[in-house]
Amino acid sequence: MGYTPHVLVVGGGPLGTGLARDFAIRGLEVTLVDPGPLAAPRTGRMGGLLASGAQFAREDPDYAQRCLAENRTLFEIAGHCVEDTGGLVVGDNLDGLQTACEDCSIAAQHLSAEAATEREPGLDPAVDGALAVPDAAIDPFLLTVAAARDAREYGADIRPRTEVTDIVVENGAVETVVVEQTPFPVDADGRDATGDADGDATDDADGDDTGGEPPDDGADGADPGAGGESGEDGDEPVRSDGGKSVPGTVGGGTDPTEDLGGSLEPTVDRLDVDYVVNAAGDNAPAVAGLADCSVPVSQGQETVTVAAGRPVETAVTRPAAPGEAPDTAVPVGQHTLLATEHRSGSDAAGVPSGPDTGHIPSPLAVDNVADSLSGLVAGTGRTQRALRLPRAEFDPGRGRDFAVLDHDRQDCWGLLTVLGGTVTTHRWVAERVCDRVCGEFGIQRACQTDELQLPGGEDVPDLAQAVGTFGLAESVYEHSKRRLGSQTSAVLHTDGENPVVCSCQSVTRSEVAAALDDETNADADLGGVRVRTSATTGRSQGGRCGHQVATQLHPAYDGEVVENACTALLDERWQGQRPVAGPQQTEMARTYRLHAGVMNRGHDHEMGHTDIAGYDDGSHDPADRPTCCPRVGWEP
Amino acid sequence: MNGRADATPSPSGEDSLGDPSETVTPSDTPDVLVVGGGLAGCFAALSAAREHPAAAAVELLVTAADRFDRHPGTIDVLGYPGRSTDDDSTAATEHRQPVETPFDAIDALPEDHPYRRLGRDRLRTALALFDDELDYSGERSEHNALVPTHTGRVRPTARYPDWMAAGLASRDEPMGLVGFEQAPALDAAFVADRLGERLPYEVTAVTVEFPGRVTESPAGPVLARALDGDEAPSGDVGTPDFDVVEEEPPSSLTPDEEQGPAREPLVERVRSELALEGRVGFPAVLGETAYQTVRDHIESALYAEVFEIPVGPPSVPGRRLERRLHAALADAGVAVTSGALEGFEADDGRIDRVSLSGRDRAVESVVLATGGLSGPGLVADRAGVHEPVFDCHVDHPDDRLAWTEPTLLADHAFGRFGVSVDDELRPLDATGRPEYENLRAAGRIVGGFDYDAEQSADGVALVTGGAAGRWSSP
Ligand SMILES: Cc1cc2nc3c(=O)[nH]c(=O)nc-3n(C[C@H](O)[C@H](O)[C@H](O)COP(=O)(O)OP(=O)(O)OC[C@H]3O[C@@H](n4cnc5c(N)ncnc54)[C@H](O)[C@@H]3O)c2cc1C
Repeated sequence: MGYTPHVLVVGGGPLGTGLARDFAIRGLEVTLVDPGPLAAPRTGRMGGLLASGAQFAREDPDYAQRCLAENRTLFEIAGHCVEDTGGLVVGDNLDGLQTACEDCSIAAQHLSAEAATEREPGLDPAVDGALAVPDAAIDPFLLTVAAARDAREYGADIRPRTEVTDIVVENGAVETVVVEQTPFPVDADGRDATGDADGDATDDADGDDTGGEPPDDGADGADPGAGGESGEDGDEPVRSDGGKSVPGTVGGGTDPTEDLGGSLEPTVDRLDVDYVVNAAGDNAPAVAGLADCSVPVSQGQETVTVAAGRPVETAVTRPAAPGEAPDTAVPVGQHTLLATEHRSGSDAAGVPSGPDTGHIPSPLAVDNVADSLSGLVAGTGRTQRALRLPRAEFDPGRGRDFAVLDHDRQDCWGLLTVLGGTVTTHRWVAERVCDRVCGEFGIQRACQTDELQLPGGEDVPDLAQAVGTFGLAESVYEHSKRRLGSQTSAVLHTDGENPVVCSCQSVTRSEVAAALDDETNADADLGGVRVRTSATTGRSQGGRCGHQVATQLHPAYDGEVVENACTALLDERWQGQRPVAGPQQTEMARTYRLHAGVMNRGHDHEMGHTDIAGYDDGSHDPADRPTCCPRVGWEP
Repeated sequence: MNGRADATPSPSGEDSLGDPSETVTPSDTPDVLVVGGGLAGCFAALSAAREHPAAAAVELLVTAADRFDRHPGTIDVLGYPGRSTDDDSTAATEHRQPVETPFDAIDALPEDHPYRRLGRDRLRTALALFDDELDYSGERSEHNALVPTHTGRVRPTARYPDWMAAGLASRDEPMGLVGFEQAPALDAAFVADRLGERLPYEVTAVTVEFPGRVTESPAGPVLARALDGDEAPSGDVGTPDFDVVEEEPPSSLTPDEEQGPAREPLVERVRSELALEGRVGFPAVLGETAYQTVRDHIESALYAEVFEIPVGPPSVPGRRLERRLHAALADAGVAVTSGALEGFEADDGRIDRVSLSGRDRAVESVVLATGGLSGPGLVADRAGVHEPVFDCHVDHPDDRLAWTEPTLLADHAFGRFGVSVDDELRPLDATGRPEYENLRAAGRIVGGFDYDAEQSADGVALVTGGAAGRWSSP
């Protein structure tokens, strides 16, 4: 084997992790960075539709067929991330669409209104017929994490909570890339601690963030993860035993349980890479900007809301005008994702943007989703949270198209920006990009990502028959199994008790532990636990269970880390609920009452003998002390 | 203070507190109808009935069955008087010491705070009635006590039940904590670490397996029931076919022959793990009805004082408090019904008739004690915030994003949502006039202040409930 090029993938969404996986399987040296935990923040803001292509059959038959092929591929390689919900397409001229589907070999059956409502009782009664098509639901979090883990198995260096802060270009080519890893949890008073806010903060604050940061030369050797863990010989990299260190608190043999609470400095690292693929989603223009390159895009605005439970069991879609994204209502796991585009001409006042709102849609934009979807589904259930997604597009109105921009044209060889596309077709897009980059280095190796199964997606026998439910309640087991796929038995088979720590989502302690141990997750990153397990995404949005999830960090991490992690986790959840302050307000008030009142997490008292002396110690009322027992053991 | 013995059923072995033997039949024409069965509603009904024991027909309508599932069972009067504007940086708020004597801090509150509006004498009267009726501890102290929380903090409170008495953080003496593997709500090692770092004495911890098999989550009520009945829980799991497994099945999967008792195996496990301590704390799941017996049992077995730390929701201590309140209500002759108020008729600014359980009835006066946003008292939707029972005016910003701040532990506008009241606690309409002459509000639904931030919700419930009840009584 000749020279192995080192490729940096910027962005840990479905596309970025898919790219890293493909590159790694083809034997290239790969590093992937993402400022958040993987699969966040933007990944979650998709509609959950694993499209069959039917929606696009009329307008764009090539794309429709591509969707169908990828839809089938994902069922084969990532079975635990997809659910065969079937799909119903509603809207005008279904006969025409059916013919177009047939031309694309997409099975489409025209159902009468009655037959459609029988298939899906959650349909709006006004719907007068539907096309039954092989759409499905996809969990973008599980998919992204699985791809990252697989990439790592093949030797990729996956670095969550790491941001590109500079791309140094010399003589018309990328020379060095400066990345900065922020430990988690950062001090609550310091930098923004939430995954979501991080990503978005870069949108507005790029100038500040990346401008004057002098690269820390001394940091190279101090990087805790990268050097030692890249597993060149394919061996499972070993992590130092006995406790966990938070990146940034480096220092070989220090007791990792000590001093983890204080200010944790970011680690700066300079990477000598041969090629950079920019897959930073709508943040891609900012990343390209670090190399003084531009990405001509326009910004669309879309809002996704997350409804509790499954008001529909089928993926229900309504194709929009040509070029616009369809309205979708798709059940994913224990939620239903509702997505709609803000069309020009719709209540523009509903979509204020600006530094304050960031990724938070206005409540009016949330109303707009509900309004757009009425007429599609009968009820949208209780909305739990909502997220705004600025979508960067090369060509407005062609949102699902992907585009590859080679910045060689802008005098920067070695930087490629990939933009757009869908989760449905992400693997194919990654394949095309990898072909192209490999071509730059004269490497010709076939893509295998459509054949190799992802971790969790391997075919396994049904475990329930063999081992029962691992001592868990049946429903807990079923939910766990859906998320864990082929890893179910490895994760749920524990020696001792394995209590549920997130009741709404049925997440057990061992599943949280497995997520914390996952090498593709940043140390102590509960945001990463959330995307891997769905813990804290249920009714209370972490209000009831967030602290239980956070204490799983103890005793490996000290109390201060646990508290900060808990705060960061709950604040991230809080932000997503704010725009749905109507329906979610009761839960928010309960969460606030529990944490501010009952737990008193808003106050932290350190008290000496004299401090507590001013309070009632019960001694005024000796009658209240039990007299049943001789008091031994403790002598004052 | 006397008269407690008459007012409260005496605690016997299987706690009879809160097992009201007699239920009171609702009158056809209740003089006072209290809507809402939280602390404020119970207390309003109790006060109304005690005001005129013979004359008044008082009915309490419980509108949400789970009101006490979020109540930790303590009575907070005032922990932190309102944020002062000049030092409201997070750091300053975070380290502000809790109030030592609530009565001394009342003057610093704004004039329209319920405590200022009703006055400290009414607060004293309300607390005295509570002490007489409920048999809680702390009644002879003007001082707040500090109690440990299940997340390892301390919290000021004015009244605490007997089962928390030994666990006061403000008692300068080491403590041991016991956690249950199956109840992650209280991670004993974590709480002990946190408390030990913050208090001037040692806090130790052990975690044991609760006897039996627990698959329910949250586990609290199941554990409490197991101890009440002294029968280890049996869980609810799918049936494994062990023949198919090659490995040795983990012990947690082996079916138990029979469930057996819960109490004795529990104390045995604790005794073998725990170093001797003068006082030992458990998550507050030591029985929902027989908690005195259970605690006595554990105390004598461990030779230690035993206390409990509230966990939840669902909060077992909240349910205990509810049972005690209902026993007192029964004793006072209050009729308790549950359901929703289906409608009402008003004439000339007075509520004349209500329809309840399909029947129309005349009423003299009504107390609205349905709770705030966290209870069912206020409802929020696209159109804003409403009070759904009588459609009282609720002042709030139109912009829904302005209801909340970007982080959870902040000074949120919604914390103060509620009805505005006059000096007689009558909800006011948008023009500042009483909505109805004979409608009064009590508890969290009275807006203007963030009782969670103040840690004053229970004191406010008692003083507003007490006053509204008494004023409504003919
Ligand atoms: C409203 C809406 C609904 C959609 N619904 C569907 C659907 O139902 N089905 C479907 O198949 N597709 C859907 N899509 C498309 C889908 O969301 C995208 O195709 C997919 O998310 C793209 O993945 P990505 O990896 O390219 O980008 P993203 O998911 O946006 O990931 C980009 C990553 O880059 C990271 N990043 C940002 N800045 C930096 C930086 N400076 N350095 C390093 N990393 C950085 C981010 O943290 C993020 O993790 C929808 C899109 C929208 C807008």
